[in-house]
Amino acid sequence: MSRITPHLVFCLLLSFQATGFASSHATSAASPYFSAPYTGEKVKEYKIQLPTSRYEKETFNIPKDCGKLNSRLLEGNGHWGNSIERRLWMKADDDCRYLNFLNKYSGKASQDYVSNYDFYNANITDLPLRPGCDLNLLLHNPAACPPPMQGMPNFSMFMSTMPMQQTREKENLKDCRFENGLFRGYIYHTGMGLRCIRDSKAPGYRILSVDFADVNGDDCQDAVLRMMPVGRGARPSLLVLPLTRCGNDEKFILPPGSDYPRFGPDPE
Amino acid sequence: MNRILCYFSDHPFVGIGIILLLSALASSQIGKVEVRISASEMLVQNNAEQKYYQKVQDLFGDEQANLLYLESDDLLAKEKLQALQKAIEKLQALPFVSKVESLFSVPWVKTVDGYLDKKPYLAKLPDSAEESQHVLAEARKNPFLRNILLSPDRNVMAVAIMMKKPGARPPQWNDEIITHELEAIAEELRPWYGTSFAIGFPQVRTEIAERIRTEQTSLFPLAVGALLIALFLLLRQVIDILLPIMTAGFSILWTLGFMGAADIPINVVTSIIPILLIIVGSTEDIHLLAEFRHGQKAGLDTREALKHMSRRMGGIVLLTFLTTYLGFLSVGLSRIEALWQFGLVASTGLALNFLATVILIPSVLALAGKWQLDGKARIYSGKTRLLAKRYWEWLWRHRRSIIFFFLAWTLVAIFGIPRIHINHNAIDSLGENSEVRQKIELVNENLAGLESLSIVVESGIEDTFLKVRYLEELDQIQKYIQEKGWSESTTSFANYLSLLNGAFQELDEPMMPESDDIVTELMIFLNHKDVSSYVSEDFSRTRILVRHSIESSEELQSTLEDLQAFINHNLDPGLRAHITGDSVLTLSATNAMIRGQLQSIALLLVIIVLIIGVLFTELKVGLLAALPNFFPVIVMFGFMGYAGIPLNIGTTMAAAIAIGIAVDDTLHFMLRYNRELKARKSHNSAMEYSIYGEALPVVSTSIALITGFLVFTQASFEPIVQFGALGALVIATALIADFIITPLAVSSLRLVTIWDMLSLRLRKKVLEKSPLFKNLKPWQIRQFILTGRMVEFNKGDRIFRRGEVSTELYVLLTGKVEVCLPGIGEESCNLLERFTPGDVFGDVALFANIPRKTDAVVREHSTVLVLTREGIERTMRHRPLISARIFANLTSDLSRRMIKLISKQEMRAKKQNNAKGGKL
Repeated sequence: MSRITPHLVFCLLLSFQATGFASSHATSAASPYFSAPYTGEKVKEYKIQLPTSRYEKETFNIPKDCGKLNSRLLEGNGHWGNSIERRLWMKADDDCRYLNFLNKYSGKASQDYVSNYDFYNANITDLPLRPGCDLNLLLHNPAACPPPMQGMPNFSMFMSTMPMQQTREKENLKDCRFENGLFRGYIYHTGMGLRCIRDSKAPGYRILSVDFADVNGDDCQDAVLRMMPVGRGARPSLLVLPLTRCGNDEKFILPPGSDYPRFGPDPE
Repeated sequence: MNRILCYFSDHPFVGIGIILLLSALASSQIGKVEVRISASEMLVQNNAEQKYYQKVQDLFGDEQANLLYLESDDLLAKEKLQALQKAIEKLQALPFVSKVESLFSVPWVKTVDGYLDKKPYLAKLPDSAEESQHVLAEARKNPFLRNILLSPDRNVMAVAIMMKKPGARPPQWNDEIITHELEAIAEELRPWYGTSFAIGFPQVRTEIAERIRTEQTSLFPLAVGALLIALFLLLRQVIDILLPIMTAGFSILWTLGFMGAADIPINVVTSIIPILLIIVGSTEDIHLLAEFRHGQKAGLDTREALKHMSRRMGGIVLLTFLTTYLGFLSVGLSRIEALWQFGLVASTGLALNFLATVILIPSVLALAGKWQLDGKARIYSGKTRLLAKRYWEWLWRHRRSIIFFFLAWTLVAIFGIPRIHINHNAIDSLGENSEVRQKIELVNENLAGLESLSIVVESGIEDTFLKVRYLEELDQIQKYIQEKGWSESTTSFANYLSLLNGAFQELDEPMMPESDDIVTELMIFLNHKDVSSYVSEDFSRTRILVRHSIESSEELQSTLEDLQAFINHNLDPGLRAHITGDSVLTLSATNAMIRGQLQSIALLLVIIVLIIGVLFTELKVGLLAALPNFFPVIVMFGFMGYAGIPLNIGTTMAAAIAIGIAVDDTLHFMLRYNRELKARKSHNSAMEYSIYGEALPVVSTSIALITGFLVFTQASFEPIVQFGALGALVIATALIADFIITPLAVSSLRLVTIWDMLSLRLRKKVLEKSPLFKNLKPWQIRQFILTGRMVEFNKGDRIFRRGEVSTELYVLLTGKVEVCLPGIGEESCNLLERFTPGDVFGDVALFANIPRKTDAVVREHSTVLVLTREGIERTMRHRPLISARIFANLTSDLSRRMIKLISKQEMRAKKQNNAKGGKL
């Protein structure tokens, strides 16, 4: 008994320490912005009232109540409400999943080649694009192009809508980059590489946020971009794109082993 | 009625006591009467359309809002906006304001760094002119602002003020409070904005109420003055002039008391009732007074003249009151609250006026009837008798030309009728000089207008309007309206989604989502309360709110028909659309009003035909009596068509009321003619006396009525002006018709009244036993005998003498008559035959068409029915069945009498033969 008691105390201390560590880690963990439901405002947290049965509703404070929300979903409450409310369940769940995604590996990565990069003004060529496909080839024989990677932005949407009357003088490699988080224009591939025409009325992508975390636990810091397509016909769904690189001069790649990229709500 | 009039003639102080008592009762209620103009009073009450709109309002809220209109070249200058901000704060603090919408509150839906930003357009005051222009340009892109709160040239801006519903009773606020409070705030903004005013339907109603109050004080004395002048010029008797004013005064007091007790307010139409009572109420008085003066002129003392008046006029005024009462009551058949109230109050007022007349006139005349301060009426002189005779001769001589002229006139009027247009718009009726109307025109010119309607589209299936396919249906309807160009603003849930979609896609303009997925994504960022005016919570029902400035009911009708046709043809079969809203209810009220009033006119004419038909025991007479009253209606509608006077709440009343009034004169004329016809042998003479007798009362009542109706033309509310002008036109035309169409129409008839019939009841048994009327039904006997006349003879009188021209046959009703051959002396008589009641005599010479061969001597006081050759011939023409039976009976009776005579002669011959020796 006398042996057991100090052992228990030690364990308790350890568990307290662990709790304390987890807690302090949580406070320093990634704290992303969200779009508040109903208003669309940029917020760190939001309250949402969701139906948990035919006649009951419960208010969740996201991200604080992500655990509770998850429990309710596991209990099968996510199907209550009308289609909008069901979509709101998914949104809250997505936001919680995103937070978990960022905070999955709590340790701080020792290598960081991403946080020093200005993603809001990123060169498109720096990003892991679909393997290049000649415009003419894409237009004439799309089947000849390899399929885009799962969850990757489909830049070919810009290619297929590029106005042919644009003069080549306007093409500029410098234009192949985001500007303050936005790229709108046309991209196409030539023998000399990617060429872009910026056009404020054309479709494009908006980088909503860039969060940094080691999302795959490889001790190498990753950047997670949340992007949204803009322009005529674009669906206002989030593209979550984690990027990483192992040297300042390297191109960004998708962090191996991560569940993302993902476009739109999680279908689960 | 005769007895009532006689009672008050004998007990004048009882009459005056009743009048005072009723007046005291009315005075106790008069304080409750208030001027109240409500939006719903012009609408059809409790119909399906209104109930549906009520449900739509409960679901989506009110369509209408008050506007604070602001105009300036530099709308968003900082100092102006600061002043406006203060004004909006004051507006929000007003107890009757539920919400204030402006550029300070309407969200500017856009994304900032990819996140939605719904801050209002003026969340931050612009620092420069360029920034101001940018804000205005962006605001113009918002369909919920474009042309609603911001003009195309960006020089006019409006603040929409939504009102709370006054729940408490009495309400804590009313239209006048709203108008004055809002105007005070608009006034404060005038130093900054070139034009600044508050406008909306409360302002319209306030203006109407203010005008009613002003006109009550200006038109009322004018109506009294006009009536006094008309009565003075025509009657010249102080008592006769004062009495109609007194009866009108009392009846107005009682009517207002009734309104107070029944909680019926003074509104656009009930406001004219006091003046109408002054005008219309005087007609029965004039007829009674004219008959009283007739009696006096004939040498009767006051008491006898009153009896004469009661006997002659009692029944007639009751009947004419009834027709006028029905005319007013028929207006109340309308389902429009204002007209229903008008019909009820005006008919009650008229009944009270009649009560005042039958009490006050005999009472006052009994006390002061002998006062004839001016001696006599100028128009009632011997010369007028001659004038009447000449007039009738002229009329009869030119009857064909006159009939042709009237037919042509009617035809011209009929051609004008299709030109009539309809307009039930309260704003339009304010007149072009109205300040409120001018403000509304500014709103119509620079913004989308104050009028509105809703197109409710529903499927009954949840989430229907979260599908692009169905949102496009809304868009399609909106585009059609836009193409047609009658609305500057249509807004729907589809517009809101487009706005949101445009913001998320970072487009320059709002754009309809292209897929259902996009809609679903957008819905995360939409709070239902932001779109509760447009879509139900389950997204199965939605409305398109359309603002417009169409004032003409006709234009609105055709526009809505066109829109309905488009919807019927193009809308997805899974959806149902219903056009409703304030404009639609107004239009529905217009249609109901016109339908109701046309029904009233038709019903009234039928009632008139029936009353007169029953009164004169013949439908044909009723139809003829309707002729001079139907003619003015056609003329009135024709005139409306040519003069561009629309059918509206005032003008639709004019015809029914005016017919109800005008038919009185026709009745008076026909009853007078009937009386004269019985008293005189010739219908020409009867007509002359009828024209002479009715000229003064009919002309004077008509002139008084015309003058009175013309008083309404001084009103500032257009339907009332038009009501007055048309009322005067109908009365004037009816006057002409009464002295031209009525005499010509009735001259061919022998009028038989129900009173004549009733007076014959006592002699019924005698007549039914008469051989002349064998196998005839009682009504056939009546029809025939009423073409004759009753004459009473004293004992010893000779009904006819030998040698006289035979133009009549006789039916003995009472007494005893002997027909004999004259003897040598004056009084000697060789009896041929003795006649008892029921017997016919004087027929042989009549049908042989030879002078009388015998004398008819009255042996005891006798009543004889005299049937003229003319009357018999008229029966032959008009009632061949009756005349065939009569002639068969006459032949039978004649044969019987001949056989009797032959038998007598045989017996006499036998006697003589026996006396001579018994041999022939």
